[in-house]
Amino acid sequence: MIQENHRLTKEQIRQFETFGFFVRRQVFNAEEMVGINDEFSRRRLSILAQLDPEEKENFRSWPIRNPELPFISSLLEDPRIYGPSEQLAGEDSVLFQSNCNSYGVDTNWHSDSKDRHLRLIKNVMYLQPTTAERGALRLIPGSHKSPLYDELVRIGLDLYVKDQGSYFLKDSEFSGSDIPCYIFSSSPGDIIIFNQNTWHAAYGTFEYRRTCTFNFICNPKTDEEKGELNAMAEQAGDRSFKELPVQGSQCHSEWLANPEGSARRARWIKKLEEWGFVEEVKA
Amino acid sequence: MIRENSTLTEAQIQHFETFGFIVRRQVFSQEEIDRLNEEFDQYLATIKDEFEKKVGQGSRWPNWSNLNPETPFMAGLLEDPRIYVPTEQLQGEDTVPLYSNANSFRNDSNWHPDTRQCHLPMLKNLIYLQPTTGDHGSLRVIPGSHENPLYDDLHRLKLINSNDKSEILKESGMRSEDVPAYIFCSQPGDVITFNMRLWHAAFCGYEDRRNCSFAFCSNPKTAEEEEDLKSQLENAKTLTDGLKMELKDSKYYHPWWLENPDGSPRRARWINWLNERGFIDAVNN
Repeated sequence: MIQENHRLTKEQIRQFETFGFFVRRQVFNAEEMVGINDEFSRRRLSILAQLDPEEKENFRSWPIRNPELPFISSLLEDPRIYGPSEQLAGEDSVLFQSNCNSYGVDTNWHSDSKDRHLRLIKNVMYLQPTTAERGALRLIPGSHKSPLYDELVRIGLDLYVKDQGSYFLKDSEFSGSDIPCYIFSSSPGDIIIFNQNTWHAAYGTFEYRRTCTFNFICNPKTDEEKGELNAMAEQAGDRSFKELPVQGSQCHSEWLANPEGSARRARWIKKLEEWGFVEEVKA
Repeated sequence: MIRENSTLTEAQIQHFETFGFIVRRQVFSQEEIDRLNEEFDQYLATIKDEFEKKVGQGSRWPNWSNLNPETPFMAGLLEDPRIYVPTEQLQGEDTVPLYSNANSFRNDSNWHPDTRQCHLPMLKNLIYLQPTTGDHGSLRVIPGSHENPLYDDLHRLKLINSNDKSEILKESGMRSEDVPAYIFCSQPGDVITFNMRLWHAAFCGYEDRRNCSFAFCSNPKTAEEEEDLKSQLENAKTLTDGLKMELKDSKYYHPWWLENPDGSPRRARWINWLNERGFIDAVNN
């Protein structure tokens, strides 16, 4: 059920809180998906043309806040994206990392965030159909909360040994795709929004499996939340923005200029600057 | 992986503890499944007419206790190491079978856990006698839902109600089958063993969807576990009424099974425990 104002119902929010994610079907129409795919392809090719062979090998993601992605970057300020995100991460939440991603390998089990107080949520839009055998996102319902979250850490589901799988998997007869979960079989236009503590993976990948991700971070209120944000900001230069194969700055100067004077964008930029994230990406 | 001695590996035990269940593939051969289906056919044929007369009076699907002389192979599975060995690994060597049922479902099973008791470990082994898939009667389980907070959260969502009563489903524009879960697509001979607090369901059911279930409870060690066992005993008193079982001679624990003609020490221990704890009296009388 998609409400006209794109807000989630009370029951949809309860479902998100219980399982750690929520699926919305056909949020974007076929025409919009064609536009998104076209823009995605053009930008990918234009970046690839500038990379050396080694960089090309690791090239996987590039930021959305870029003038070469006018339609995709406009989605950041589309109520279909920010509306539910603000309901779940707070009306004063802030747009965080947002990327186009083109994968060619499976994604093993992991949670995006080990911070347990600071709420981070991710909207994922798949640009091609996905199924269990073909790259669908898999999530373990309820794994954003303890004890299940901690139990998965404890068994080492995300500790990988090269060519042997995770600590848990290498000692068992299981493969990553045997781990019990919900499989988000999707059609272009579907969106999944999840708590970034929720454990997830994707198997049966195919070349150029495409997603757009739109992440939001809550405005920290408690000491624990502030502490986690500060730690994240300190590491941002090394971990969040540079270590991952993301090509270019998260916030292009033209996006930061906010030419249309969007109040929401102005608020985001102010917070990102205050927290030290804009400086990091400029550096 | 199935070991020759039927024991679970450390990883399988870890899987059960973490997710609340473990799947073992092809534990029983096709020949054994054929035999189970034959016994199932024969018993079902003998109760079907009586069952049909009661449809509409609370009888939901034909089901019966396996512990009777007309289904000797099924009755023997409790004492088959492929059932009791993993069970004893998970719940202790003094674990005891409470129930052993055959079910011929006619419709869906909505979301539910099998028990509300949170201290006394109880588990159920299920053998499906026909292939199942997501759109053909597969069991679905919500991994990790045997533990709080997820267990209680699911009660709060009132998932236990049918589609038309659950606000979460109605207002989310979802059907029960849209609730995120692991779908246990199975072949005859596969066995799933799950903690009875785990939330589970089956949708896209069909006429005569078959399984055999073997439910065990731990021997209580703490005061809380003793309390849980008392609740189980109270439930047991209404077991045959509650499930509307088709028991031809009204005895859940059949005298033939209680006689233990082969002198099995394991069965003798179980019978002794069931007797001392009052289950035989509660269920049979």
